[in-house]
Amino acid sequence: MLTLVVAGLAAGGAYAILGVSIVVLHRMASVVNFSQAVVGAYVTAIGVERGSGLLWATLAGIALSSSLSMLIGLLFAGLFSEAGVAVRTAAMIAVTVGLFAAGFRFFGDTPRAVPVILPGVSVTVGGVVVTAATLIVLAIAITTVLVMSWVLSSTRIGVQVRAISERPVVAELLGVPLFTRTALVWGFTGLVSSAGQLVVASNLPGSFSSLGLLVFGAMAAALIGAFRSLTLAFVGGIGVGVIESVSSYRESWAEYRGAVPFLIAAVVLFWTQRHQVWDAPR
Amino acid sequence: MGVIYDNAGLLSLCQMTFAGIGAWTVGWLNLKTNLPFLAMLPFAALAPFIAGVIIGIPALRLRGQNLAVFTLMFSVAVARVIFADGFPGLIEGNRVKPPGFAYSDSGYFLFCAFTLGLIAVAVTALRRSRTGRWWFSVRHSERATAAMGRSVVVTKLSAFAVSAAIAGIGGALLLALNGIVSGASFQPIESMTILTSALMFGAGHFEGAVFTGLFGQLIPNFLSDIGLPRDISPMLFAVGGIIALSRGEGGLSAALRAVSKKLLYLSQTSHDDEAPPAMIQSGPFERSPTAATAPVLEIKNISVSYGMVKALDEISLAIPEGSFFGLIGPNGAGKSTLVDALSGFLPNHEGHILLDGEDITALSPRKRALRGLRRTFQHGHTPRDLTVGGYLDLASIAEAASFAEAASLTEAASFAEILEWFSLPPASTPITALDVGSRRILEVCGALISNPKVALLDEPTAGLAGPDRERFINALTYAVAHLGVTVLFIEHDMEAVVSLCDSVAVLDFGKLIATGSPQDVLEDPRVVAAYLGTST
Repeated sequence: MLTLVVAGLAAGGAYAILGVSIVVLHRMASVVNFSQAVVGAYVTAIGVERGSGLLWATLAGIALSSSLSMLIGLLFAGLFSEAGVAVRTAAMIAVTVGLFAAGFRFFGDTPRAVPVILPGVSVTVGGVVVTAATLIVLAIAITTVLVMSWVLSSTRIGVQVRAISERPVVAELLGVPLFTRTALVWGFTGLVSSAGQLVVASNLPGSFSSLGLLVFGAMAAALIGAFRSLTLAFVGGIGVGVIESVSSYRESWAEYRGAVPFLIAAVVLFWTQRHQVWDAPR
Repeated sequence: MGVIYDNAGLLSLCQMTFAGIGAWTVGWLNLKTNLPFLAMLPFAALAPFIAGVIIGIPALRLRGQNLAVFTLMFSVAVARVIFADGFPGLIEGNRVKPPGFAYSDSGYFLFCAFTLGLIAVAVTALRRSRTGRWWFSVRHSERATAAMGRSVVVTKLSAFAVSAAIAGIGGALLLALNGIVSGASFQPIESMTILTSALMFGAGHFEGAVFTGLFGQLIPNFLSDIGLPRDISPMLFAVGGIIALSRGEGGLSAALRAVSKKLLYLSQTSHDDEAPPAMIQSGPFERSPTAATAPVLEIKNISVSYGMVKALDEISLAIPEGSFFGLIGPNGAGKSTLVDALSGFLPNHEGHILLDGEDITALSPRKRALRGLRRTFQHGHTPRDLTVGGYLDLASIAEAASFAEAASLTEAASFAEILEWFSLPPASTPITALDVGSRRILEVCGALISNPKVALLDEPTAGLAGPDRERFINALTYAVAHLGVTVLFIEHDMEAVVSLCDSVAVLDFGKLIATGSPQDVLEDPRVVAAYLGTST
């Protein structure tokens, strides 16, 4: 049982990182990113296959997914900055469909080995083996929560980007540099999520679509955080990962493992939204 | 997609899952029974319909992105847990056969086209029915829908379930085309792709839905014909969808309709400028004050706080039946907050509200509306997709009212009458053709035509100027007197307040500072101070 809990921490950490970056982006840009960069890990794999060094391939992968994310951000700032939530979400779905199609085109859906970028070191705590990858994922997740909470609440840039996300025109009239701030926010979340994904990808079957599925655990995490709370999103991500892992404890449960993120998100949503009644203020 | 997104404004990402459930049902029935395909088809609609209701009841509290994420996760869960095990009949090689007359390719095409035609007729009829018009209403504003006495949940649920049933039929037809299907066609990403192309082509109109289906197949075929890979077509849909969204909603079909409408308009050489209907009365309307009656609406110690700020502080008022009661006060005095509290949109206020002696404090906005407490909104909330008559019809009856009840409710004034009183265009006019002021007048008409006990009119004359304003005030006075409605009238125009209102209450910073006849109240030094500031 404990082994399963620990095993779930790695996936949970990945969900947490992605979930937290979804929340960060939502708070900074008012849009749910369905397409958290899945491209990064692939570029790494390709780079390694072609024989260039692991370090360079990793950096290239992260740089690519960050700049892709940045481009999407600028597209949104340009076209949908004053649009309503429904329109922005619909547009994000369209972007995701395009990215998925592009991913299939360039990478195919054949599983390929994502290089193990971390040494296979592990420590044994109380009879349970904890891999270095798990620890690093958790460390990245916790650091992201702490740093981003501080940035969002206590720095000038944090306040600026929140202003942009809520009232872009007003923010611009106040002299907030819209273009650079948008690029910064989207690029940064692309960076964090692709780095997190790269670390856990080596533990997963590395097909394009299964990596894409990581996003669903992350969605559950972000929903648990109600797209606002970084801490709750972190806790939610870990929780989903652990419960998912523990659910394979019994053979008969394992069949339903795929539904775990949905069920958890469902329960949480019904609880948190029970007083939610009206669409918009008058 | 047209029903769920374009009509009801709900972002659902599990349409292909519902299609899959339809196909799964047919596959299962085919394996277990000897039913012919046509007999199985209703089940293909019924199963997703039920699934839609079950998943919809909890999910429809959500909206926008939460609903999109939730339905996406639902489709992932179904794809992983149910569809991943394979469809019934797939392993056994048990093929589903289309009906005999549709065995050839052309026969099957005609069969599908006929089914599509039936669905199109049914959906068009639904859209014109009350159910369908409520979908547009809820898309535009949930609050306004509830304030008209309609359950938001029922409205959304019906759209969700109907669209699920349609998707289920689509899934079954897909199954019969191929004989067997795997789960691959019903993956979450397929739902997202369908949504994207529906955005691009505008599935809200029939031709848009046809384009969505047609081009969804034709474009990949075309691409492979010219030597490009088929699977870049979702990228094209993505680009098209984003362009369509950035240009406003409705996609290609709405754009085409706009163009054809423009051409039609240009081809009509002359337009008769209709003379405005004769007004009831031209000069300022003098109201005879109503005799003192028992209060129909009693407000007892209502308090509302936002954090440390007291928006309303222990407000108590009694509004006599049949009276025209003015509520005035400077901006930010709490007038609209009071209307929100009275109509049920602020469930956490303190104090009690009695309508006709019944305590309605704990009731939802919908139940209050059904009991005859109607309101209008300061920022117009009429749904732009309806016609004037369609809107009034929704506003005039509450869903729980029986047909006979509805008839008696609207007996007091016909639509045409009330439209004439207020100089509004005829019932067939689309709301989009009305200017902002007229839309607000229409909203007032909607509140009045239900013949409520009390109508809360929140600044109905904002956005009206000069003669329009005077005309509106006259019409309102006439309508209120004619229908015998009690009115709580929030207004800035003191001339109107003085000439219309039997009594007036003044709010300032959430406190009730004066009540009485208009003349007395306006001379009250505290009221003067609230509006002009103290001179000392």
